[in-house]
Amino acid sequence: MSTTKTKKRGVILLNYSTGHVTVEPKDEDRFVISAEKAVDACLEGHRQDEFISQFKSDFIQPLRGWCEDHMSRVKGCYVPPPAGHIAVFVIGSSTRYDFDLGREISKLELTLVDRGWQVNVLQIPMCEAEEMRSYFNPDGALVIYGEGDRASDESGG
Amino acid sequence: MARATEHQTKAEDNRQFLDSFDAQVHACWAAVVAFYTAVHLIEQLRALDGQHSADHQDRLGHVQSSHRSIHDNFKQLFNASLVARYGSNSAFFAKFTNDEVKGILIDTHLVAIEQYVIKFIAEHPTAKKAK
Repeated sequence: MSTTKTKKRGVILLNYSTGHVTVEPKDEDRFVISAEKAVDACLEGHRQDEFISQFKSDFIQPLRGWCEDHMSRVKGCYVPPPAGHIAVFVIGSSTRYDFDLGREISKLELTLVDRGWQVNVLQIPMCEAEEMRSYFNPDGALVIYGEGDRASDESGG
Repeated sequence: MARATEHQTKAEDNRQFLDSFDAQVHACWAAVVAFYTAVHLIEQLRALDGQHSADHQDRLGHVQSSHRSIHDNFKQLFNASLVARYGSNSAFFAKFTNDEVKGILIDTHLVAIEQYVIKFIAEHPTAKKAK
């Protein structure tokens, strides 16, 4: 994967190594745009800086934790820039739809709803990046879990 | 469309259509019809309170807040129909077998919602009145 010609497109990789959610400096502006849209979608009328912090600690981190707890069944997790509500796409580790994972996803969704987030968590069985684009646009999507498929976004013009 | 009875009629019409063809032959389309049958069943419940959903997310929010016992049933139908609607036929059949569409999506999840709606209306006299 090349990192020398990164365009202002593609997914946004997050770093959890410090125990907090951090963003690569080159992606900070795009993260703020995505996070602000998430905040706008869910928590109107509050200070955005406070709620971006809350978005990191009260949404991204629990979601990341859930993915780690289900790592045998989860290959990746993406949050595209929200439009009215937050959509979460959980990529399964199987190419088949996993009904048991679906049940766990339903529980996760209700947990996030109880925290005040307007969210729809969906399962996409493992597939090629091109097919994944049928379900959501990865441009500007936060990579909550997994490595993300950034190579194709970095090579083009 | 606003009245509960109209949504009930629409749900029944969708269900009759679903039963009119072999869901194991046309499994991709059956998954879509099953979901939209569930959509009208949820709208039937919501219309009893004089409400209707603006879009899929609004409807999902209503299920999340007011009908949690069928939330998983509704979500699995929602998810399968998303793959059926936005993915290709080959993509759908790479993810779902015909038996899963008939046995799990229709005979388990849709049936659970149908039974829930019947029970909910029977147990809520005010809902029956509003109907």
